[in-house]
Amino acid sequence: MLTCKDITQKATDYNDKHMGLWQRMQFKMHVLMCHHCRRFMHQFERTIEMTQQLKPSVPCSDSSIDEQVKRLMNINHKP
Amino acid sequence: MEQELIEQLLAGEEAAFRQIVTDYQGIMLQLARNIVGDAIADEVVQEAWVSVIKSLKKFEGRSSLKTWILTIVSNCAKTRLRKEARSVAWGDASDIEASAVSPDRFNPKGFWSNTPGHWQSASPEQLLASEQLRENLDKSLQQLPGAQRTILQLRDFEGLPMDDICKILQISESNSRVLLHRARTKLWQTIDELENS
Ligand SMILES: [Zn+2]
Repeated sequence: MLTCKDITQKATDYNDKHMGLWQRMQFKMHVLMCHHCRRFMHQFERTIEMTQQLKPSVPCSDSSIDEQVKRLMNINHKP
Repeated sequence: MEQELIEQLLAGEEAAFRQIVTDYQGIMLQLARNIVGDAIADEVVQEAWVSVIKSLKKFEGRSSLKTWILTIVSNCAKTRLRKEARSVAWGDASDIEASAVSPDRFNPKGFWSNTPGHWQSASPEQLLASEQLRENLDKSLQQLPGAQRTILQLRDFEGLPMDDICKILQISESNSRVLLHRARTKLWQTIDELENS
C-alpha cells in the first residue's frame, strides 16, 4: 500500500496521467481512504491551476518591437 | 499556417517579422533569463534570433514554430553556460528527492504527522487576490533553481506538452518530471505556510 509520503511524491505524475493503470488504482485507493492526502491533492491541484494564472509577462514596448523587427530584417538581407 | 508565415518571412515581409517578434520575444527572453540569468539573457536572445532567421529555410514543421524557436534559445543559452563553465549538471535531477514536502512532516512509516492545514481561500482566484500570497509566490519562484523555474515556465505558464519541453531543454522526461514536481511542491508549500500562519 502507498504511504502518504508516496502520494506527495507521485502527485504530479498522477495529475499528468503519467501512471500505469495499477499504480493509478493504488493511488486513488489511498486518497479515497486518507482525508489528509485528499486535502493535499485538492490543494496541490489548486496550486497548479493558480500557477497557470500566474504567468509573468515580459513587457515589450512598441519601440522595442520596432527596433527588433528592424534588426531581424537586416539579418535576413545579409547573405 | 506556420508554413505561410515562414514563406512571408523568407520573402522579407515586415508584417511577418512583426508577428514573430510580438509572439515570441517575451517567452524567448523569459526562457533565456531562466537558463543564463538576467544579466546576459538579452544577448542570448539576440544570438538566438540570428540563428532563427538564418535557419528559417531549414524549418520543416516537424515541431511547432514555438518549440523550434525555443529549442534554439535553449541551445544558445546552454552554449553560453558551457563557455562560462556554469553548465555543471544543468537540469540534473538525480541528486534531489522527488518530493519537496519536508520529510519531517511524515512519521517513520511514511504517514502524515504534520498534516496539511485547512486553506481559507477556496479558489485559485481567491488565493491570488491576496497580495501577501502573490508576494510570497514571487519570492518562491525567484528562489527556485533555474532548471525547475524553466520547466514550470514551459509547462504551467506556457502549457507546452512534456515531450516538447524535453526536446527544448534536452533533458530526459523523468528528470523534467522530477524538476516540475519539485517546483510545484515548493509553491504548494509556500501557500500552505501562509494559509496556516
Ligand atoms: Zn495519506
